Amino acid sequence: MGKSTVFNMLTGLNQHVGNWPGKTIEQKTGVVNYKGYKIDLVDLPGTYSLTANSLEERIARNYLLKNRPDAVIIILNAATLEHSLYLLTELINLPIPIVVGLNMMDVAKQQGFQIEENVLSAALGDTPVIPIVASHNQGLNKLLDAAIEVSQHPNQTLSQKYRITPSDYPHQEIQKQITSKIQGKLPAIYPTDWIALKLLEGDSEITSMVKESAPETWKSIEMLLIDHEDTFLDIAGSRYAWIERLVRAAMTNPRKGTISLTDRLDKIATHPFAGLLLLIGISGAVFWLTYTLANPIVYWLGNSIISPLALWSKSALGNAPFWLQGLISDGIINGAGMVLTFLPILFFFFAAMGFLEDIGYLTRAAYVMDRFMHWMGLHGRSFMPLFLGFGCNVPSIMGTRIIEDRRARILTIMLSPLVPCTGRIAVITFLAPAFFGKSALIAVWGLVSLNLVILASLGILTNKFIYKGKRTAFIMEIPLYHVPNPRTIGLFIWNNLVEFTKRAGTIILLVAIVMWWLSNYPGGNIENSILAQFGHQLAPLGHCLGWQDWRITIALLTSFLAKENTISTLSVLYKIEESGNLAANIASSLTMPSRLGFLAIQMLFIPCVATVAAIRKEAGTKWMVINILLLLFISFSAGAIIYWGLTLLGVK
Amino acid sequence: MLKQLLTILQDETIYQVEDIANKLGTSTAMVVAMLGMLTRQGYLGEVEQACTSACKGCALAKQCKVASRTDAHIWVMNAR
Ligand SMILES: Nc1nc2c(ncn2[C@@H]2O[C@H](COP(=O)(O)OP(=O)(O)OP(=O)(O)O)[C@@H](O)[C@H]2O)c(=O)[nH]1
Ligand SMILES: [Mg+2]
Repeated sequence: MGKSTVFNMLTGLNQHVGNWPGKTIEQKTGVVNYKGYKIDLVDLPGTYSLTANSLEERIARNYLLKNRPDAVIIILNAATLEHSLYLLTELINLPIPIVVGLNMMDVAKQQGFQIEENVLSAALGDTPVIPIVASHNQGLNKLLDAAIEVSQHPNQTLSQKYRITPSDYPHQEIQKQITSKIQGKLPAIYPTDWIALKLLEGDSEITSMVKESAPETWKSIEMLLIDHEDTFLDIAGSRYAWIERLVRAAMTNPRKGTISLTDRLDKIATHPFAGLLLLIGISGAVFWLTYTLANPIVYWLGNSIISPLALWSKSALGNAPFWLQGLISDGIINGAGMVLTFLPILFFFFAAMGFLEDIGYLTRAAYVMDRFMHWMGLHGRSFMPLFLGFGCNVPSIMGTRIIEDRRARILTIMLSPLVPCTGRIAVITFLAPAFFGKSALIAVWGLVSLNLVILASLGILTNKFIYKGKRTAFIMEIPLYHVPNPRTIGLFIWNNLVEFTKRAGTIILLVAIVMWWLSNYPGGNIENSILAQFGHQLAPLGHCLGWQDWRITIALLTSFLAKENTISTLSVLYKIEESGNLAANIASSLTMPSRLGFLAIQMLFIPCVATVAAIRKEAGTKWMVINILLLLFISFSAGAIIYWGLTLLGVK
Repeated sequence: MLKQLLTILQDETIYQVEDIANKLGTSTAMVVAMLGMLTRQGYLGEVEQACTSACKGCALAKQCKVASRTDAHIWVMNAR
């Protein structure tokens, strides 16, 4: 890291930018005038190795071999030495003098690393190792001095360098055999033992070059190679073993304190069983906190702001036409405005999520859950997308694009809508206190759990009978816990609240207005309105579920446009004249079993139209229809089972 | 060392870099470096953070990015 920075610092304005011959990758060359020397400097593309895995790597190594520069400056990132040393193990055996620039010393220092450059240098056969901070122009002159020095005495530096063998791999005998076979048969620019090594590593470019340049010998080389498969792993592995020894010798261990704290916390947080319990506990606490803190404010907003405002506007508009009065007071303020009282719920929910994410807990949650998802046969990549669903199902469905296997992807898309999004969580949080009194919190927990249990069962069933998912090993690097940053969390809350407010001002407002119109025309009387006639048609369905009131069914249907519409529609249809607060009015028209059934359906119902559109876009119309039918079936079955089950048990 | 790492990864389950490092008797940084190499060689795939390239052109990308701002690295074994 920092090659271009070094290059820019040294060359200043004396740069030429072009392309590598025939390639679209930028080639930068420049001139440095230093202590009477005129140095041509070339900025090579960044690579991790000299194996032809990528265009960058091919360009870099071909340049080194064909142009044989007087010296190579290799820039290592001191903060991630393990990563960048691999390239050095490859360079060290090429016949080119090298100088090591140990960059990012400031970052390394900040992270508490201490690197002894003398140890590094000695281990590299006295190759100069110069600590630098490229971005602050520190150490760059020393780097140039060293580069000039080695270029003056190439033979001496090379012979020192050759004494060390970074790769002590078990195939050196075969390498020798191959070397003798290709001796003198290839273009002179390539060192033969290097070619032999690359053949053993399975390098595609070198392989085809040998095949072309020396077709007669290729047959016998191929026989040797076939007998020694997987030599790449041995060779690269021995390089890493060497890197490890080197790092151990040259670097002192950092961050002891933080690591052990993280270690101790993670003993519990990522434990297969304790971690799951902790996760359940923490999610429970999030709901408890959201519920306890938000609900008083929500009710206060509803009863002391929205309702009085609606009443006041009605009287203030006393002389205005009936439609204008009703539209503003019942449709806009009482309908869409009521949904705005959700803001505290969302605020506390996102604050809790943002906090957990920012300290680094969510990664642990993902780890624990992933173990669990493996039991369900769900693809490891499915977790992150599903997890996004708690915010909103749309990004969760988009997020499944990271799943390559199409069937696993479809399965994840089909399950996504079962993750309760904040819209649905807000609706049940709003209604729960009036519906269930003291047991409200338990009811909310139960409803959220019901969704997750159904999601898990569906996953397990699909895995058992329809799609036997292939499992794969799944590796996670879990970062250290960190001190939360109020700004990041604040931004996270803010973005989400803005998004919600936009929805309230558009689709939710529109639906509220339409609902008001449909419930007042013709005749300005709800019982004779178009909506009532339609609602009565649906009455049989409601009766099956214990809703004697058609308004409930209509409200549920409008949740298709946006989940929060359930509340805005109910708010429009249960006019404010009916004294008491909205949730209480709704509760009074439902028995206990039907309340629970209604909320279960609300939670499991077809997702909102934006989600359905996302499903269609990502999985196609067929799967969208299947998903809608499936969720209709699941939600109504669950609602009916809860209602009839509880009724038969005698719950009132 | 790489071979041992691949042998450890044969079980089709979930691993923490930390655990692998303990098994190999090395540091997590070494394991991450080697996982990077195995990724470049095609043995593993690195899972992108949910909303980087996948969400290009998605209207919700901005909101989504915030929601998926985890800095964990994730790799999966590729079928061979
Ligand atoms: N803190 C710190 N940052 C640095 C240092 N050197 C470079 N950087 C920063 O690291 C980033 C990458 O630097 P580049 O010089 O573009 O890296 P590069 O090696 O050319 O990268 P590629 O061409 O992509 O391989 C830039 O933002 C630099 O400002 C350093 O010594 N300390
Ligand atoms: Mg660069």
